[in-house]
Amino acid sequence: MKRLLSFLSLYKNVAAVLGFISLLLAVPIRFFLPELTASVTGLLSLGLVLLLAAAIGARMEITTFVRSKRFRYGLNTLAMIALFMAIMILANYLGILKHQRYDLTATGKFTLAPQTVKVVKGFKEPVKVLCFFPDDLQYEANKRKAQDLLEEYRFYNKNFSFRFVDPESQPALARQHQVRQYGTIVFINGTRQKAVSLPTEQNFTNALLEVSGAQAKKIYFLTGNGEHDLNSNDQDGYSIARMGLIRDLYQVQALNLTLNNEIPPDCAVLIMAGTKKLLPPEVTKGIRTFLKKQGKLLMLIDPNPPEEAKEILSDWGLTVKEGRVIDPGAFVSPDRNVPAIFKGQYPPVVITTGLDTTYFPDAVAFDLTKELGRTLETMMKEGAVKAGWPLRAVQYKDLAILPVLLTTPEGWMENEGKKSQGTEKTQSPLALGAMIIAGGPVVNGADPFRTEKKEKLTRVIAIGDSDFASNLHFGNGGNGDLFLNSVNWLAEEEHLISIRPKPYSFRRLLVNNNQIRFIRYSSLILLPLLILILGGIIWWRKR
Amino acid sequence: MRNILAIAGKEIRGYLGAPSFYIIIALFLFISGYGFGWSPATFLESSIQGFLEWSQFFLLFLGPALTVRLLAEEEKLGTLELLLTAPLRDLEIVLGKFIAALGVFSLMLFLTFLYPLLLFGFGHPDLGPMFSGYLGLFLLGAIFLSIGLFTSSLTSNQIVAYVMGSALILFLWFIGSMEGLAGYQSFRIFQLLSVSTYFPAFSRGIIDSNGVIYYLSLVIVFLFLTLRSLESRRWR
Repeated sequence: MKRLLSFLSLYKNVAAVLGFISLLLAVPIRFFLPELTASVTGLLSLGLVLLLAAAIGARMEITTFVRSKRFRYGLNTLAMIALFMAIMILANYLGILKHQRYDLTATGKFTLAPQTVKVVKGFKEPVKVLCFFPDDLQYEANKRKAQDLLEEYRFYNKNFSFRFVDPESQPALARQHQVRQYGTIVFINGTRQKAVSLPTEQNFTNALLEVSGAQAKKIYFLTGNGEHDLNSNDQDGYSIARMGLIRDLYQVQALNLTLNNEIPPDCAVLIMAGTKKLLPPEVTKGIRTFLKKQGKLLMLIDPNPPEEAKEILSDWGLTVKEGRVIDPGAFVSPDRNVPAIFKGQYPPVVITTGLDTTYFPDAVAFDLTKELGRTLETMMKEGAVKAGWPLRAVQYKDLAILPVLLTTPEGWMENEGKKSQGTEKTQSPLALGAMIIAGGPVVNGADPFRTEKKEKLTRVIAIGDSDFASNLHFGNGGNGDLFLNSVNWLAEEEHLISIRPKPYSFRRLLVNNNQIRFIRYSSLILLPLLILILGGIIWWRKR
Repeated sequence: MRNILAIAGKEIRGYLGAPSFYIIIALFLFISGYGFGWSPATFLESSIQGFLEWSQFFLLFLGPALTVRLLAEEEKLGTLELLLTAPLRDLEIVLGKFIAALGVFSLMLFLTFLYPLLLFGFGHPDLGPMFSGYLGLFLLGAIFLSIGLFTSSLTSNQIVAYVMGSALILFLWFIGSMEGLAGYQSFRIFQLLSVSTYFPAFSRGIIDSNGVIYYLSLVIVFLFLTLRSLESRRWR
């Protein structure tokens, strides 16, 4: 035993060095050649044994050292460092749990739309996303875009995970997910999967919806009666409005009721965008039946609409005034035939909150039906209601009508060159748009257009112009937002009502060649030169 | 507080009186100016992303360069003993020197405000990403300065301190790129530990609380280690 101990004391340094080398060798082998587990285990064991032998050989020195002040102070310092690091790790962990992101860009470029956030947050099951991008500069831009977007998605739902896969180094995984081209992003939820080729928020959210098995609500556009074409890119087409609805996660389809008289049961909202021709009786019947079964209708009509359209509106308490609206108090200069409603001039209604200026090329106004008007007048005389059309909501039995788009008091209806005011005696605004809720108990004393309705009720929005939402005018002012907000209210997706940020802000520097040179060389040379001169002066003075 | 400011003031005077400091600033401004003036982002988006991309890499080497002399030189000249025996707390010494380094770094950043001024003069840049970009760069600089101060406290040789500081910074910068070294979970941890993971968000206009907390944590950790290193001289 004594001989062994003295042998170890003699060769303790060699044992220590060999022990460390053995342990160091084990580390790279473990990481780069993980299949050589036996070698790694052997090297680790050998290293530990050699170090133990060295420790036994140096036991006297170790004992002396452990008893010294330096060891105790050193151990104390290590303990403090360990404790401090633990606190820092805990602070970071808590920070991860309460993760916040603030998008400071003017257009909210990195902020997901509210509808996307709702979809992502609502996801209870784990979703895995595999992004198949090769290590190639050609795909770098899309890769970065995908990463930015997926980070945002993961921020709102911790069940959401993603990783990037190089299809060239993992071809089997790419084949397994039927990836046929680079840059494909695959969403996986259990057995369902959906591949997307372009990293946009709309594509990602639609893919999420698809792998969740959820169905997007369907919007039907009535066609075949002179309406705006929802697929047309022409100025009077509705393709931009259609894209806006798709971005709000609706499915959009055309519906020709002359071919099949019934409105599909999955119709969330029916849109009549500028019906011009007479509606066949079966079409009118189909629409009336739809509305009686708590359907939702957005009717955009122009001056001199077909009689059937007027009859549908009169079922719900509205008449269409003759002629077109002229509003000298607010119009898009220089054309007085284009009444406008300026920002801040809207009544406090959910679909117009925060809305920018809207305008309506060639518009018509609405009034109550004669019967409803007479009833209202009688009720007002009796003090039963304080409603005053067109400025306030009208509530009669189970019908509630709210004017939402009002001209100035100077507005009038021009019919065949003749002028007629809103009322004979006093000037009052004309109603270019109205919201209607009907078919169920209206909450007493409360505003039916603000309270959250749990019952399914008929909802109608009538707007006295269809051109404001056409391709030419959709992106101007608040026109697009008004159209989309109306659909969202009708579809009972009030949480989607928002003022959408403009997707692109023009920030390009408009400079000529001289200005480019000035920008470049002043930033490259001016400042460094000034600093060098200053340094030179200081050096000279120090001499 | 007075002691901290006194130490900081003395160090700042030392910086401003050294011609080499002006060469470092000029080099930083030259490289930043090139990044700004020759980046497509400057003209297409009215942004300072070009400047941010170039300057973050230069900072990897600038950080230790600004701080190596703070403690290593004092030890070499023998003045560190005087400092440690003076009626000053170790914390005051560390904070004073760190604030001095941070102050001169802030001055360098301030000089680059020429770039946003040029953009405002010729276009309509988005202020948000500029603010977050500068915040990210400031925090990044603070981390590198604290690492440089720590390595400076470990040795009296400035070159050794610089090399150690650069190695540590490069390790923290590139650890997030070491995919394939370990499983996916470990790789995810490496990414979270990497300083380079969080900076792109700052430069694009996003202030991520994880990034801010992690960057501040690193600064505090290395200042704490510097403090422990100084303290250990008393019993080593």
